[in-house]
Amino acid sequence: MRRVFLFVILLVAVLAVPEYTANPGGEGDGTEEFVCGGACHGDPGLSAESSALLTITSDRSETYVGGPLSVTVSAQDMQLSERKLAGLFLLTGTHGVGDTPQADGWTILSDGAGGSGNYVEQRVTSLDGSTSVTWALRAPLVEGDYRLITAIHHGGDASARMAVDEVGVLITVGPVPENLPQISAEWAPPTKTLVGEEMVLSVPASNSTSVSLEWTSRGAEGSVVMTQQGDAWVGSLPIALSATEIQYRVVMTNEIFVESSAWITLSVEQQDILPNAWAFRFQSIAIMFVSLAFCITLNRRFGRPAKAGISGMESTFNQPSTIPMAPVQQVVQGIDMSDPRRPLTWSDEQWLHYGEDYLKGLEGGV
Amino acid sequence: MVEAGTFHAVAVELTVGSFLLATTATLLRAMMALYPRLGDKFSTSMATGLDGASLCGVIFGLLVVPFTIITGNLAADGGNSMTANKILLSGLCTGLWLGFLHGRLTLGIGLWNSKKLVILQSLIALSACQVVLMLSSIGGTLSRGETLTDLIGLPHLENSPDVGMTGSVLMFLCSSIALVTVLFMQPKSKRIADE
Repeated sequence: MRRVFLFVILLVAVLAVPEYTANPGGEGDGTEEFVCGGACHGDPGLSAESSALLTITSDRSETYVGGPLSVTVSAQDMQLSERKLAGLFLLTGTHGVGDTPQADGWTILSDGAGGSGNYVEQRVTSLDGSTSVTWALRAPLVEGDYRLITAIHHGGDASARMAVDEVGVLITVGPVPENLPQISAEWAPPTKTLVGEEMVLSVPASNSTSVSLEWTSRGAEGSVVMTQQGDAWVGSLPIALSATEIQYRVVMTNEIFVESSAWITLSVEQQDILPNAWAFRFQSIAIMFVSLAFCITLNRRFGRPAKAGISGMESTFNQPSTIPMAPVQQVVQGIDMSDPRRPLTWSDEQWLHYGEDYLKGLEGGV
Repeated sequence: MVEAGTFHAVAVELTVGSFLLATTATLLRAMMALYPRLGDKFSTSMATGLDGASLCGVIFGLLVVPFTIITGNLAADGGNSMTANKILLSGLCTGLWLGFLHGRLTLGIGLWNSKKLVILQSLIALSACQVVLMLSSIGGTLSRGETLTDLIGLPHLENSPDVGMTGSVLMFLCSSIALVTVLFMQPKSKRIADE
């Protein structure tokens, strides 16, 4: 009977686990293979179908070895959970292993969210329920045709959901044209900075006679001429006064070519610090002292021996002699200070104290 | 180089484990004390063992707490309102467990003979354990963006009260006076003899 009871409890416990609670807060941005789309919820094939419409576009269909490429993935019409969280992938296949762009030789310079991974999670807050991510890439060092595809996974209607666009875009990577302005493959563009901080870029560009920095942010745009310092070209982006995103690219020119890098997203973040950590430390110590004092008081209150407490009170009230009292002045009832029988020579005090006896004596000692 | 976050994870596991052990042992010992029929089924050594386990759990947990707070501070890297809540709750947690320990040490093992004290110690342990769970929950939210308390619908403590530096110092002074008053002016309780 006990075994049956235990079995029923275990069965209920297993069935009570909601299927959509694997990672409701998301996995976080990073470099993830296709299998991640299901790893958080089981096999990708077990995920429910997503109604998302995926679109993938690139700023060019041909580039060269180490050349720039921007790829934008957008998704819309997906059924989302309450958290409105959707994860977008940039992939080269759906094998589950080795299907990231990096595995094919691509370098992700920027994922549009301040990182450099192929997987980006976004909260879909737009009214039309759409979201998009733009990746800035550097082409592989091997010439050839490369296909980039996309996928999305998210929660919705109490299920983990997934959609894949296996057609994607085909990119041809050719040889580097002679005398083409280029940025060194070693250069890692900055993708994150803090509000109020100046972002100085030092770009190791070759075959260039002039280099400029083009930027755009929330409709505003501008261009900064970079100056050559040694092997690098140096310039600064505008200082952001609030958290925002700045897209920028490096434009290099020489007598023959005008070449630009992909659009790179610089995420400007508010420094998230406590206004005054010491204030909270003082409060914490205060709370500790108060809670400790409270516990000690309760312990002493309940820990007081009950018998001793009652007997103490009883002993006090059962023995009136122990009660400290002021000396009681006897008050004589029925003495009239203007009684005509009062001897004339008696003072008030004498009459008050001995008057009654005197009157009794007059009446025969009754 | 091992990061502060890794040390913090280790310290948190030690702290939470110790306090959970203390809470479990306290509740079991309390059940033995409150239900004599249940207590009679187990030996005296079992009762003593549970009392010792709760005592050891609290002492070890309190020894690890400073290490947990320091590594947490280093790992926070600036901090935000949720880490501010962690600072406040860690004060409450330490205060409650210190109160629990003070009660047990001053009243002695005989406190398990008093129904009122058994209930009081159990309530203190349960409250302190709840605070520990809230602290862990905030930690989970900070590091993973989710917490197991999501399953039971507990709210995320994403905002923290801010009374400013002056208010904080005043709170500190008032609480210090309250504690000194309780410690040195209040009639002290006597140790309860074990029957």
